[in-house]
Amino acid sequence: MPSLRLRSWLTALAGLMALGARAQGTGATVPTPTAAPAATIRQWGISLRDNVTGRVQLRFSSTEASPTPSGKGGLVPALWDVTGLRLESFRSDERSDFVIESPSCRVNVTTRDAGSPGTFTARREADGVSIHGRGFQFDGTEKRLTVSNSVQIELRTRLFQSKPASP
Amino acid sequence: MTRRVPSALLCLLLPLWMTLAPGQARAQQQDRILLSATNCVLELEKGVYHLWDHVRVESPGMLRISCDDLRASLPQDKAPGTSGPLPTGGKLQSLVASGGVVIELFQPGAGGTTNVVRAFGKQAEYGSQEEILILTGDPRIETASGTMIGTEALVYDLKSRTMRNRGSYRIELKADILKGSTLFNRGTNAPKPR
Repeated sequence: MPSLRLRSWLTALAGLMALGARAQGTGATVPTPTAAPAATIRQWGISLRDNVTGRVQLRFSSTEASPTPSGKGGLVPALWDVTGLRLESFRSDERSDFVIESPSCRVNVTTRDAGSPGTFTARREADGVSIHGRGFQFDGTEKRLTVSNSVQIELRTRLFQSKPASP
Repeated sequence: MTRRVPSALLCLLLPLWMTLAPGQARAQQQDRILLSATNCVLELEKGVYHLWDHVRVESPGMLRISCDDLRASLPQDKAPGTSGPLPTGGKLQSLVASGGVVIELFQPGAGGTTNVVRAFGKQAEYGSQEEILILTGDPRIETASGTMIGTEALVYDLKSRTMRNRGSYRIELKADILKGSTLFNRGTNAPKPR
């Protein structure tokens, strides 16, 4: 029954595409799209590790991702247009550091950066720092966030102790 | 079986909650600092923030700064045995504001009023160690009673709320503060008119 076997294999492949594929990369490895070129991958994700220690440094995940078309009609394997991005950065001991979320942005998994002219939020649970704004570029190598349109940062601290009311 | 909270207990707790809640809300407000700007570069791991264009810093109910450029530093301790930094509770280490700096300090006054002290200069520095504000570049501080104008720097101690200066300074007092004063209304030794 080769045709039945082929049909079940195709069904399994279609199911995989429907449920979404999760790519796991190491170091500067570029994820290979598991769907057909220009297809949208649901629940896309990639973890980028330190080349020396092998520990996870950044984890990109999104609800949907598509490889970016190049000008020559092909695809740029390192560039992904993603929706519902969640970018998690880790400390050297692999504890979660901060999380950046954006409804829509472009990710370069080779240079480990992400950017969008749209809105974003960032937060660090450890010290309660929260950031939101519009127009961002994140450099994952330097852990540098550049905002070019508007930014609001909230720090959970106080500058100094207020004195009681004086007459 | 459900247990009902006695209404008498609610009557006792409600006024207590209404007394405490505003104070807690105020304390929570004061435990945060809001920074905003058009542009910024945030070194998230190093804890170095650089903001520019329409920068505002606000510690609700206590302080407001507006300036062109701001550099803030949140120190990051190194975790023992690791090379990576750890955040230190979001504590602000230093602030350097420059370009058209305006600082407004809100202080609780008598009878629930708020006194506002306004400071102007080309640059202001805040250090958490000493809890002082150093104002330079044509520094000027305005209060309800007058203006202090410095030539070099004015230093405002946030803990003791005292002012000191570097270089010469002058103080311009408002005439209003002499209203009702007997300073210029005392008797003299001039002969009395007959």
